[in-house]
Amino acid sequence: MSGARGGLAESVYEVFARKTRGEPLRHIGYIDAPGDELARVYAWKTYDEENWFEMCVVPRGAVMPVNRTDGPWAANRPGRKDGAG
Amino acid sequence: MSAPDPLARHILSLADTKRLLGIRYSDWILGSPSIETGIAASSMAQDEWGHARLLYSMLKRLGFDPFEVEHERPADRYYSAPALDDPFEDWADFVAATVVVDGALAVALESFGGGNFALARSRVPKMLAEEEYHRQFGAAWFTRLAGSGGEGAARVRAAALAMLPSTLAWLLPDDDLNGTLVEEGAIWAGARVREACEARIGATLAAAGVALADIEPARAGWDPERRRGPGAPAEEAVERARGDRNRALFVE
Repeated sequence: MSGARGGLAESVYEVFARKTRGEPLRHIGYIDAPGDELARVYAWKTYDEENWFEMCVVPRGAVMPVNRTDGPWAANRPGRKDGAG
Repeated sequence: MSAPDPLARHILSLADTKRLLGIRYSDWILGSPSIETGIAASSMAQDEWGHARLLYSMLKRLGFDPFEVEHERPADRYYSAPALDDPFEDWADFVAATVVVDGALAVALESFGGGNFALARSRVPKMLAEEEYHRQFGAAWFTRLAGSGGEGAARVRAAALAMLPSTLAWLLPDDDLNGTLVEEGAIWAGARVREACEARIGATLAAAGVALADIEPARAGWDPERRRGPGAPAEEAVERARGDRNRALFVE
């Protein structure tokens, strides 16, 4: 989890969305934002080319790798010296 | 263009303010604090221009020529809120405007959409749904700047205080034409509008130590015909609003 979510420094948020109620949520991209409120606004305004039924944002640091620690996602987790975070 | 009746004046005031706000937002598509912020500014500018077009089109039903209204008026015939007359000086101005001016516009739309004018009742709800993201953007940025201390906090507070008196006068006209609209049920009474304004932006402004209830509308120099205080939007903005450089390409 980001330690900067109360200040002006920015954190990475992953963006997930689905076009219909029955469709699975899918990962559509990411945005940088200084907090949860602006992450929601930036995600909606950045990925508004589709008529989304539902959109969610998740702080990148909240997504936990399950089966391996050397995958692309794990490598980009915040706090890793070799990751972009 | 002949002097508008109370309803046309009201619609023109909302439409012109949205058009000018869209221009002021668009100035910050490049140069805002981050790429995402610039994208949000772009999207909010598009929202405002889309809302303005919907509002201008309502005037057609009232007998006005929309081309003349949108493309042929000089700056001193614009009915926009005075806080948008000049470009934002810095990011604090932008943020304060998203709270003060955009917030006042949303409250004015709530009032109009809650009245008995059928076109407003049908079109305003979608505008307000889009405005919700503007509210979240403004509240988040304003609160963060206000809480950051130092120059940023001082600037956003000063910017809000500079915009509030004229914007409250714009939101709460104290004249006969506005009174007519209230009596006819087209808009809410002033007390309810002020209450809605407090509910929408009062807590956000308080983050910078601004007490909305203590701010008096600046009514000096009120122009009842243009439904605003003295002055006019800067010529460069009006040239863009009218589309002066695109005249040969206009298709209606």
